[in-house]
Amino acid sequence: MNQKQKEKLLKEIKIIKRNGNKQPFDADKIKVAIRKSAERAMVTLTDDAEDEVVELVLELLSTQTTDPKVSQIHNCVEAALEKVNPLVAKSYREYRNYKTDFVHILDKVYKKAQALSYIGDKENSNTDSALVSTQRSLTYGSLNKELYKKFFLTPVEVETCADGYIYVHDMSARRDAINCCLCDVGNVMKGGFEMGNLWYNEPKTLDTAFDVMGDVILSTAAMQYGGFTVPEVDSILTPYAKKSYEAYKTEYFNIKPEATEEEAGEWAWKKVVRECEQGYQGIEYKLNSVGSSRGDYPFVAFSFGVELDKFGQMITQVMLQTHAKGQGKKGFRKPTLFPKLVFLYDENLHSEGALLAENFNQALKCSAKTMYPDYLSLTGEGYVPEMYKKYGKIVSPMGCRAFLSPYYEKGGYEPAGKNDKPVFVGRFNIGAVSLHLPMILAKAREEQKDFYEVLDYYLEMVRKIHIRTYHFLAKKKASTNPIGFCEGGFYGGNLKSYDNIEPVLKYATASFGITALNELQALYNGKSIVEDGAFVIEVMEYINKKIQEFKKEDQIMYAIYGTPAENLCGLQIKQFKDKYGEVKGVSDRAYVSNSFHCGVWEDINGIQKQDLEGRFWGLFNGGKIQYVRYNIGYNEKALRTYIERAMKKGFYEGVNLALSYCNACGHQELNMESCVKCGSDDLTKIDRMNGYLSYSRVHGDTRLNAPKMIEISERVSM
Amino acid sequence: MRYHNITKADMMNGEGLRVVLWASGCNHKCPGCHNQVTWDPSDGLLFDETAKEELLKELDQSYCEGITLSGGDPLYPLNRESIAKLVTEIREKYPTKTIWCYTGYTYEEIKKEVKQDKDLKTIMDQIDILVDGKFIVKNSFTDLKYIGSSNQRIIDMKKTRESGKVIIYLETENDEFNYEDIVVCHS
Repeated sequence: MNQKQKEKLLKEIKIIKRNGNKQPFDADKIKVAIRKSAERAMVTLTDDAEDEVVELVLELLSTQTTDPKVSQIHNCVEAALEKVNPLVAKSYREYRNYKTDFVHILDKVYKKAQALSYIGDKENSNTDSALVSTQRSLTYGSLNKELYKKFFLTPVEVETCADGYIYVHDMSARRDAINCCLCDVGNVMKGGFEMGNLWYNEPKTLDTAFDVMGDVILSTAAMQYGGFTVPEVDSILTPYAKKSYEAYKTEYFNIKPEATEEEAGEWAWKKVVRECEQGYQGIEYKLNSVGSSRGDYPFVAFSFGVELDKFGQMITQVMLQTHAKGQGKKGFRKPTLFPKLVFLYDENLHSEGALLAENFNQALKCSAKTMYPDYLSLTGEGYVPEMYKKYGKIVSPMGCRAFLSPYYEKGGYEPAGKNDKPVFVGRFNIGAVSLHLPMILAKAREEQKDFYEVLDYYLEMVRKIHIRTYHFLAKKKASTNPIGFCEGGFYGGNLKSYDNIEPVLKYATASFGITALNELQALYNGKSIVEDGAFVIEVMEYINKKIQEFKKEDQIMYAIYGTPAENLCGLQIKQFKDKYGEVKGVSDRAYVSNSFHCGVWEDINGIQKQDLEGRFWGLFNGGKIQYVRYNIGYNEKALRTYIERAMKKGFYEGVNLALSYCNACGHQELNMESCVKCGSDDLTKIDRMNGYLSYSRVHGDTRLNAPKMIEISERVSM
Repeated sequence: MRYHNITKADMMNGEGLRVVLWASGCNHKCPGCHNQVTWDPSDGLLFDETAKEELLKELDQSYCEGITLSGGDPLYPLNRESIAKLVTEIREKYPTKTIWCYTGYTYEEIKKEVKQDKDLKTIMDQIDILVDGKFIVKNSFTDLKYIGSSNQRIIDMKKTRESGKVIIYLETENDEFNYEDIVVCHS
């Protein structure tokens, strides 16, 4: 187009506005709009580039025979930008219709905020939505979720999520931060560190170590959205216990120079045991009552139990005894929910007569009263024990049940030679996306397609979301989480605050979540996974194979994770029903079954449950747990039998007791609906969600969503 | 003898995971009994070789701590011969597994009868634990361990046989934090 033609065209074109009025073409309006889009995409367009866009728009318009509408102008600008700068084009596209889209978003957020203020929220049992800080964070979360859908997901993905074929976990936070981690708190404390512009010296006593560790946990756990684990906490604290012990001994000799070594040692030991008890009690209080800045009580877990040093043994036993005793007024003590305790079980150290047998004995006593600790086998069969037996490395669960895949120091995803070792401590996960397998099967049948072809489509979709997440997070600055990325909380986390976190991100895993396998089998042939399960195993083997391929191609550590569906358990039923109606055994209950677990209503004993669920164990190396119900707490031998059996099988094993406590008279007994001693309804109840425990009632009021409460009421073998 | 059920990996009727034989026949007829269907000795299934094999197979499992004889009343007079045989066989084949026996009779009542009842003596000489006494509603509390009413006793039969007087099984525990509870090994 030459200058003359252009000017003619400019004069002739009239744009039809939405209200029907006509308006002359104004190139400056286009320039202002694309400049804004460029700004949002953090791109600066040159004058030439801006002119080029206008030129291209005009060229496109010149082919028109009628006056264009505003929406057509937008299309032209988009097409023009696509040629000049695709990044800006994307940003422009996202802002089209912003007037209507943003009103919708704000309206949703407003409704959520109103609901929070007046009704409350039961989506996540760790958040008490009555609190101001929590309401704030939930309102922000609601906005962030909308922004995630608008700016991170593609329209097809949004629709897929809305239908329910996939579920993107933690939409409200995944653009901000990482998911869950094994924080290397020992490394952070060693030699001192900086937090909040303050220099913390390395603790000199056990008491200070507990205190500092608590600060690090609360501060750092707020910089992520998933579970925060302090792995091998007994080993981390051992040097500080020794320091305290020596200090007490010196003090004793100062007061009584003629004392014997034995006398001073005995006194120092008692003092350090007491210090440990108080320190641990302090941590329990802190983690259960001081909300973190993210507006909830962060999910914190401690793993421990294999430290050989006698101070380490003492720490393990004191933590267990203090936890078993519970917190609160005398006569009304209840166990706390955080930290989740994970007992690391090594048959050679913990079986009867072995060196650390007493650690295990006390763990069992503690579980009989409070469910925790859960037990992680280091010496049975399967992936986690293999890492321990071969390399002496412990794969602690991140939060409740997520496990990392190995990353080798030299070779990366594969070991480089015999001496290469895997690293787990200090690594993390960047988020989970779950598949809704029953819906995917239903879709395949309805469209008369091969199930695996449809499954592939969704696997690819999840894969793409993970890749995008990875690239998105890679651009974050280390300063977003200084303890993790700058002070050595994460593996390779000694970056400068202005560095991108990309180099550390390569150690991270990204999870494909799986749930409702019982319902998948039921849809396939009308049988439960107690009656059958062959199809489910076939599907899981396929997914494992597929993800192995993705891993190789993308060089991203994908993991397969048994999803602990808390709120999702009811949502997936609703989604299934909306599309495919009520199907017996699939969508006729209020909830779907968690990951590979048997239906909670199944009348099977714990041995059967362990064997049935054991079939899937090796197919979920990125996240899993097994648990057995105990109708009584006092049969400690039964507890020992089940746990030792699980440890032989290489399980991560939990104990299920329906704990209930009367707040009126202090009576505690399993499975009360109202107090059997005094009749009060003011009960606090603790139930297992899956990998973690939760209040199902607090002072008589339910704390969980309705489908979950129905699930709990239907439990026979969970 | 007839029986009503065999339950496996049962943790409610004695220590550890147990196989439980629910024998038919009971003449105590305690008010409030949870298992009234087992009172009639002619009800239920015949305790034959197949049923016995089912018990033994379960006792073969390493997780199985032992057997619990319950019912009904395994010591109902017409059951004693079969129970005596069963107990003898199990004692011989599984010397390390424990045998618990629930009954509505008291230890003292049984003791009197043992002299004229050979089968009863065989049973009493070989079981590890006797849980004795009727179920009495007014003594029933929900926080009792392994028993339904507080008059019932969990008797350590081995110690009782040795000492000649009733020795109660089961320890008491202390909930308070105690320095002596920290037991470390010096490696």
